[in-house]
Amino acid sequence: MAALIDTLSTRKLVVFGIFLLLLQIAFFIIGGTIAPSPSNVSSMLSTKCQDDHRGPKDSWFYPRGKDSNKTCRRIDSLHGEEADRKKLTASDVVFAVQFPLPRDGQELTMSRWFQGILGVLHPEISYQGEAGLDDIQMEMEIHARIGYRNRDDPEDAWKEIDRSVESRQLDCNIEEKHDGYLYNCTPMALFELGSSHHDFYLVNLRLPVTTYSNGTVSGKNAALGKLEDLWIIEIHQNGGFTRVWWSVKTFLFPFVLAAVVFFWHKIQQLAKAPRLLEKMLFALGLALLLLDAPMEWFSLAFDIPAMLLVSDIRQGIFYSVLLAFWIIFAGEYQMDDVIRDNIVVYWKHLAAVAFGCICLFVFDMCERGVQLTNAFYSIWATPTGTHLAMGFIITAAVCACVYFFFLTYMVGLALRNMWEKRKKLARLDEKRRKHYQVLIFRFQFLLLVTLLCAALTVISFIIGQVSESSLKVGDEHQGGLEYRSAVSVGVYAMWNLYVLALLVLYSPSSTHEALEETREDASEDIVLDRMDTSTAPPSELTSMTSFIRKVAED
Amino acid sequence: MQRVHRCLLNHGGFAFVLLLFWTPATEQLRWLSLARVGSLASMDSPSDACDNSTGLVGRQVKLCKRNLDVMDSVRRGAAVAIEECQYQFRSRLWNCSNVDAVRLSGTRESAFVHAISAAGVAHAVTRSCSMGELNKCGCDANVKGTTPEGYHWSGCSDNIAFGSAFSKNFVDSRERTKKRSVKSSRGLVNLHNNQAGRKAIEYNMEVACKCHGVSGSCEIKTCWRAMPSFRQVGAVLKEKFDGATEVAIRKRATRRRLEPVNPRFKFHADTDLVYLDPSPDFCRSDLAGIGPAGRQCNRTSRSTDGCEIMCCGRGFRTQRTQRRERCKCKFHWCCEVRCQECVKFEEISTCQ
Repeated sequence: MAALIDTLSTRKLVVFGIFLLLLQIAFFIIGGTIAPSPSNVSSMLSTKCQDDHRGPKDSWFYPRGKDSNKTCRRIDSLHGEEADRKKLTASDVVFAVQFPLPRDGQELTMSRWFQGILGVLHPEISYQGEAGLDDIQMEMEIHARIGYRNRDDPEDAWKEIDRSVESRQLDCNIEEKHDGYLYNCTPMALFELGSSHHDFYLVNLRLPVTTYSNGTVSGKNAALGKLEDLWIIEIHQNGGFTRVWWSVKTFLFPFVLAAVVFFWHKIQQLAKAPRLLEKMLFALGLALLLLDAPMEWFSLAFDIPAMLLVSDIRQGIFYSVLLAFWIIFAGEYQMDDVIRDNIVVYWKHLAAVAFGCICLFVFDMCERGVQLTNAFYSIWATPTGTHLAMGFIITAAVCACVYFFFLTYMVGLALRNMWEKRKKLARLDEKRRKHYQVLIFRFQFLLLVTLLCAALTVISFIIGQVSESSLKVGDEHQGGLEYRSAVSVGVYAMWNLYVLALLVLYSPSSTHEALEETREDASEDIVLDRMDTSTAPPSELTSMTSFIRKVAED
Repeated sequence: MQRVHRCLLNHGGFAFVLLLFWTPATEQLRWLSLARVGSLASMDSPSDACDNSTGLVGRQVKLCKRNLDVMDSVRRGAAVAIEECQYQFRSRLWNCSNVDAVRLSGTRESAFVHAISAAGVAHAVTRSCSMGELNKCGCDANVKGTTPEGYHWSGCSDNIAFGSAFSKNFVDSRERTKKRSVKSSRGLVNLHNNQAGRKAIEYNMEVACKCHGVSGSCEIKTCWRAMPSFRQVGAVLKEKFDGATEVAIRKRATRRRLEPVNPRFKFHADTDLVYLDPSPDFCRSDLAGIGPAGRQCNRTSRSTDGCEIMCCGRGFRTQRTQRRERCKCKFHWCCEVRCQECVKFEEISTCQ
C-alpha cells in the first residue's frame, strides 16, 4: 500500500509539518487573545413579589419596567414585620427574575450569539438558632414559568416559553451553626434553553404549600425553613467566544472539504477496491466535515432550540469514528503477517465504542431532547432519573475503559512485533538497515504524537477544571491570555489538523511504480526532525507497511 | 452622650427626626446617620437629602446626588452595619451604641466600625445590583467596553466588583478630602480598615460550579461566587477585631506606611484590622453613654460578658424571675413563625 506520504520528499514533509504547527499555534493564540472566556455567568437575586390576587395564573410578575409596582409589589424580607403584618403565606410569594440585568444605565439585551441559556437555582436558607437542623435534605416543589419579550414589544407582553411543576433535590449542610449563618446548598439546575433568540427573559417561581383551614401546612415545601432568598445563576456562552468558534469552524470547513474530496478522488483512481483503513479514514473525514459544517449560523436568523442537541450529536459522531479509527489503525499495523482488512474482525472493539456512544446518546436525548419540550426538565431531578442517568454514564465509562484496554493491548502488541522484526534488520545491508531504523523510529513517533494529542486534550481539560474551581477575587479578567478559550479552540483545531494531515498524507498514491526509486533516494538524506509533529505520524505508518512487506519478502 | 437631633423638613412639611439615637459624632463616620433616613428616592426633592444635613461631606454629596438610587442601598447598608455591630458586641461593655470618634478615633473599636460600615455598603449595593434594582451597576471596565456590544461579546463581571468599588468611592472619600490628606496616619488606618471590611466579603465568598459541556459533561465548567451572609461578615470582622494589630506610621523610602509597633509581630495582612491607639477605659464614667450601669451581665462567665468585667467591679444585682415566653421559634415556609411556650427560670444580673 503506497500513499502520498511515500512520494513526498522529507523536505516537503517538514515544510508541511511546520505549516501545520504554525497553524496550530495560531489557533491557540486566536483562542487565547481574541476570544473572551467561553462562558459568562451572572448571579441574580430574585425579587420577591406579592401576589395579592392569587388571581389569574397567567399574569406575569416582572420586577422592572415603568409600572413595575403594579406587576410586582415587592416584599423586602419574608421574615420581618412586613411579612407578619401582611400575613403572607407561601402562595402569596412569587420569585421573579428578569434578565439580563441593567448595567451602566443601559437596558441590556440577550443576544442570539449566546446560543443557549442555563439557569441554576441557589437558595439562601439561614440557620435558625436552637431549632435549626444540621442538614437539609428534602425534595422541593417548584412551580416554574419562563417567558420572553422583545425590545419592541409592550412592557407587559411576556410570552410563555414553558411552564412546569418540578421537583428538585435540595441538599444543604452547615459548618458553623450560628443564628443567621447560611447553609451551603448544592446548586440545582433549573432550566436550560437551547437558544437565546429573544431580548429579555423572565422567570417566575413559586414554592407553594397546601394550607388547611385549621392552619396546618403540608406539602413538600413545608420543611423549607427560613428561606431568605432565591438566587438564580444564569450562564451563557459568550458572544465573542461563539464568533471566534464559528469563525474557526467556518475557516477549517473548506480545507477539510478539499481534503475529503482529494482523498475520495485518490480512492477513485485506485485500480483495486479501497482497503479498510482507507475507508475508515474517509469516514473520519466525513465525520469531521459534519462536525465542521457551520450550520450554526442559521441560529442567528431562526430560533432553533435543537441546535445544542444537534451539536452534541455531531461531536459524538466525530469522536466515536475517531476512536474506531484508532482501533483499526493499530490493528492494521500489527506486523504479525495476518491480513485483516475486514471490519468484522474488530467487532469486539467496535462494539465497546458503539455501545458507549449509544449510552451517551440515549442519555443526551433523555436530558436535552426532553428539554426541547420542557426547559425545566432535568433527568437528575428525580431519584429514578438520577439512577437511570448514572446507569448510562457508568456504562459509557465502562465501555471507555474496555476500549482503552483493547487499544493499549493492540498498540503494545504492535510495538512488540516491531521489536522482533527489528532484530532481523541486521541481515540487511547498511543502507537499507539505516532506512528501516528511521522508519521504525517514525512509527513509534506516530504513536507518541497520537498519545500526545490525546494527553494534551486530557491535561488541558484537567487544568481547565482546576483553574476554574479555584476562582479567586479579581481572577475573571486578568487580561492577557484567556486560558480556557485558548484550550477549547486549540484542542478543537488540533484534532482538525490531525485528521486533515492524515487525509492528505495518507491518501493512496497512484504513482506506485515511481515509489521504489524515490524511496531509495530519499533514504539517503532522511533527517529526523522532532519538530515535525503533525506530519510525522502518517508517514511512518505508510512507510512502515511497505517495510513490513519488504521484511516479509526478505 | 452627644445626641444630636437633626431634622429634615421634607415630605410636604412633615418633619421627621433623623438621628435619634445612634449618632456618630465623628467626621469620618457621620455618613452612617443615613441609616436613619427614610427612603431617599421616594422623597419629593431627593437631592435635598444629599445635603450636608445627613452627615455627608462634599464628595459624598456629589456622589449622592449623582447616584440617588444607589444611596438607598447605602442607607440600607449603613443600617445593617450598625445592627450587625451591635449584635457582635452585644456582650461587651462597649456595645456599639456609641461611636464617639473624639475618644475612639484610631482605636480597635473605630477600626471595627469603619470595616463593618464599608462592608455593609458593599454588601447592600451588590445585592441591589444583583436584583436589578439599580441601573448604573458597572459592567467592569476591564472587559471590552461597557456597551451592549461589549456585553454580548464577553459579558459583565460579578456585581461584587461594583459594590466594592462604590463602597470604596463613597466611604473612603472621607479620608481623601483635601483637609484630611491620605498622608495622615489616621487617614491611612481608616482606609486600611475600610478595605479590610470589603475584603472580609470578597475573601469569604463561596465558589460554586456547574458543568455544561457536551451532554452536560464537565468539558466546560463555569464557576461563580456567592456572597456570605452579613452575619458571617460580621463574625469574621469580630475575629479580626480580637486579633487587631497595633500599628504606627513609618517612613519607608518615599512612601509612608503602617507597620506593627511591635517588630516581632508578623506584618498585618490586608484583611486584618489595625489601630493606632489603645482603647479608652470604658469603665471611666466620663465617657458618655458607655457606662456599665444597667447593663445585663453573665454572673458565671469570666469573659467580657461576665459581671466582673462588664460592671467594672462596681457590683451587680441579681434577680431571679420566672417567665413564660416564646422559645424555640422556628420559621415555616414561607413567613409563619411558630414558637413553643416555655417557662423560663431566669437569673438576671444587672450592673449597678
